[in-house]
Amino acid sequence: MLDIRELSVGYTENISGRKVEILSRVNLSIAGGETLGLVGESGSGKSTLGYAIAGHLSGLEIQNGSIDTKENPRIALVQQNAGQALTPTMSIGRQLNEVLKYAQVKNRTEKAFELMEGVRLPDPKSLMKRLPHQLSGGQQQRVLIALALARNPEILVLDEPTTALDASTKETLLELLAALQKSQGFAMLIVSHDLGIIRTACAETAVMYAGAFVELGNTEKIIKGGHHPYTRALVEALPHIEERLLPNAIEGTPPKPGARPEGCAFAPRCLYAEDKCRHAVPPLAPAQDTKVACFFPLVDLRKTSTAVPEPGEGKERLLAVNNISVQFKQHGGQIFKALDDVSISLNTGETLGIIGESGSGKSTLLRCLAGLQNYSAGEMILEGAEDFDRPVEKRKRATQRRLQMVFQNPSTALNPNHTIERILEIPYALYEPKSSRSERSNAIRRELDLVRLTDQHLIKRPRELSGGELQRVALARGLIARPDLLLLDEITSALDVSVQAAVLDLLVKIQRSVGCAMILVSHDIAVMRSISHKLVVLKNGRIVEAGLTEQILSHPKEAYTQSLIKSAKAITA
Amino acid sequence: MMAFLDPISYYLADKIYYLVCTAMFITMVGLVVIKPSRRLLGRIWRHWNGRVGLCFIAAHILISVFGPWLIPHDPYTQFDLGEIARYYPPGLEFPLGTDDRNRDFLARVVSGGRAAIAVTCLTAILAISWGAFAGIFLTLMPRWVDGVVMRIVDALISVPWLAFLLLAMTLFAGARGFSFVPIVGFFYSLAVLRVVRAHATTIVALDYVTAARARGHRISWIAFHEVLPNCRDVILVELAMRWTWLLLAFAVASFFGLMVEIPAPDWSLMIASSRTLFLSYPYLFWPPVIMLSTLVIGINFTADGLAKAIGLDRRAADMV
Ligand SMILES: Nc1ncnc2c1ncn2[C@@H]1O[C@H](COP(=O)(O)OP(=O)(O)OP(=O)(O)O)[C@@H](O)[C@H]1O
Ligand code: SF4
Ligand SMILES: [Mg+2]
Repeated sequence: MLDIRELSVGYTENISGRKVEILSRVNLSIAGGETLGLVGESGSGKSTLGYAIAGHLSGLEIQNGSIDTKENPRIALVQQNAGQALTPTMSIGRQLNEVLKYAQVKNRTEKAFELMEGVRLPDPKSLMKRLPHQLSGGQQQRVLIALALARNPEILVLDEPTTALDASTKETLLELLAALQKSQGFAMLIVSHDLGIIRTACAETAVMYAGAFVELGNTEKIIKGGHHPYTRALVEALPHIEERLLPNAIEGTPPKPGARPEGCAFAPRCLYAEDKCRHAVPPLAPAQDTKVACFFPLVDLRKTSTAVPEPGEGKERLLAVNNISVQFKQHGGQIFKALDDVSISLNTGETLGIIGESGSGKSTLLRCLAGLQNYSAGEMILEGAEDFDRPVEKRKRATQRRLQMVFQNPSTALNPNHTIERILEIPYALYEPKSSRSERSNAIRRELDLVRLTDQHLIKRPRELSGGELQRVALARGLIARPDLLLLDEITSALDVSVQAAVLDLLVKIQRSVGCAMILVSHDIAVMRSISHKLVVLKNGRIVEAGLTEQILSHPKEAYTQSLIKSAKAITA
Repeated sequence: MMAFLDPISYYLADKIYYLVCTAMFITMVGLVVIKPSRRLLGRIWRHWNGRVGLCFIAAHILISVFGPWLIPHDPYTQFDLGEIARYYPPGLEFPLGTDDRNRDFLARVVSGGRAAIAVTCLTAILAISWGAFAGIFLTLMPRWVDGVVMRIVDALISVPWLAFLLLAMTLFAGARGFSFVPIVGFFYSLAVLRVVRAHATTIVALDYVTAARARGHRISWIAFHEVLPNCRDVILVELAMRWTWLLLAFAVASFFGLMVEIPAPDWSLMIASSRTLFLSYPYLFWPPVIMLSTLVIGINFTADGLAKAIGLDRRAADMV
């Protein structure tokens, strides 16, 4: 179905006319009904390969090799960042309708419902009338997949299809894709940094680094015992679901296109690099049971993860939320309860994890705390602040300062027009209006240091930084206010596993040095296990189970929690 | 006769015109000298319509800034040329001949855009600033405010601007000259409002705006610091686009004698008075036509090129 030979894709620099390669000499083939997984950190060129296959190469050129398919194939691409890929001002129903019209489908309304149900979206009727921002992140992602399936594709390229999804939705979605693939026989390429879903969905996996494949072979073999040092590092960066261990970050960052080192591109970060690696490029050649591009493939297995220190237990009560409910009025006047009688409590210096499937109300709860969402019943108490139950604009500055929020997608959470310095200065100037210039710049430097960024980042703008760096900036922006409580909404789900490992490590260290409490929303149980102290399980706006993380995860009482843990185990390595 | 641009207003327009031209000249030089804007210019230059547009505009700016110095005659002086009573043909003394009162036609053509450029520039700036301001604020207001205002805007937008102008003329009998600016400016701001609002809606939905709200910033702060900078491209394109429309609107009004009072030079008036003569005296007809259309086309094409340059850039940025 799809056959790629020696494909190089890149661009020509404007002034110098130098050719820059983003992908270099990639070979792959996928037959109808087969699935190939593609893993690697961001910037390795995974998405570019996906775009090249789908023919969306605006601004880039094919410099070498070819992409062979049958004539006029129907290729569908599911893009990364669901929120940005949907048209924000058009209702979901209309967007589906447009695509179906383009695909010349007759019974468009029926087909649209079928698709929405196909991707397990609840209550399609009301969802169709909503605008994208009125859906939760996971729901948006499923809409995108429905849009892609609307065209009956022969080749389906999914770029990070499950980043915003919780374990059980992930599992059902992957099952659904497998079932559709069986009946329609399309070839599938799944691009992801999540080894878990690759393991579930793909028999074959390619590991990509700096635009080239470094390892290719059977997925199980690659995950259980990859031979390339990079593959091994990626696997070790995964958080563990069985034990309370902090995952290992990979030091350094992947090289940018055009600045790739001579010889093995991984050499600067490789623990096993020798002189030879810096001069010659290792070819992709069979080594034992996979194909590896490394001069010194690893043979033995070993584990190097470190244990997490227990978060220090706070003494004083900081936050209490008692029985709050949030309702949305839907088209047609029905009331929909996004939160129903929810109570949580938190001590100073503690981390509370909130877990639940997509649409369970996790973000809504954070929005209530931040004063961005009105609630219909219940009360919220923050020690030492009488105005905490009001919306944010009616709270006193001092109260506003005590609570800071960090968002899921750092590329939309930072203003693209501001420099990093300005981004950090704004909150400081807001909370310390009388501060002098030197005080501000000291504070900014202090925060940068805390999140391990340097002075040179100050003059950059968000688009010049990588996802991991952006999320550190976003964290610094929250921390510069020196809040008592940090609200973290899925802050690692848009990040690579290697960067996620670094951010988790950072959170643990920040908490130890600054001592703020954190509420961490995530759908990833393994992430929760590695850093949260207490855990709340949410479902359909209600609390299913709450208690100490270790206790819940090792002895879940409720059937729902058990099933969450089970499906998480099913799809994590 | 209904003459909006009476001598006093025309004098004012003249001053504003020089300001506008000098500002544009400085901007032009600045654009070429400052690096980031040179990059933008380069990107506009890449599209053929951008290239044509920039050339036309540059030519116009050069003509308006240096033209009056190079031409020996004043546009108002009536020459006594003996037996030839009027319509002196092109020659050395008068490169484009003279008009019905034996005034130097070249001098009149060179300064014939003053009123139009000055008035429409002010109008465009007013329309853009008010429209962009309201458009951005609306997206930050509660839903119902937005709904009510947009309904009013939709109703007003279906009223043709000429009707507006006539209505205002009868209502404020004393209003003269620059009354074009607030009236037409208000009308055009409605269209700008809709475009900017549509764009701002996509910005306001992004997390960095939510983040600013969660920190406790006021709405006006958010509008100016978080939303406005990200609408800059759209506003720039709108400004150029609206300006061309306004030039046309002004030309139409002036053609009907609603704007500039004789004897002040104005391209549309010249076209109006020589349109019956253009077979016998084509040199009196084509120059103002060419001037007016190259200016309109120039601004319009530049706006096109700008839109494309920005749009293309955006798509390219998403890619990598
Ligand atoms: N403005 C709104 N209008 C109507 N319904 C809304 C609105 N915002 C959220 N919802 C609904 O409220 C429910 C909870 O949304 P929320 O964003 O809290 O989910 P979540 O648990 O964070 O999910 P995810 O993991 O996918 O991010 C969802 O069903 C969502 O569709
Ligand atoms: S070739 Fe050398 S530098 Fe490259 S991955 Fe193998 S050991 Fe490391
Ligand atoms: Mg969410």
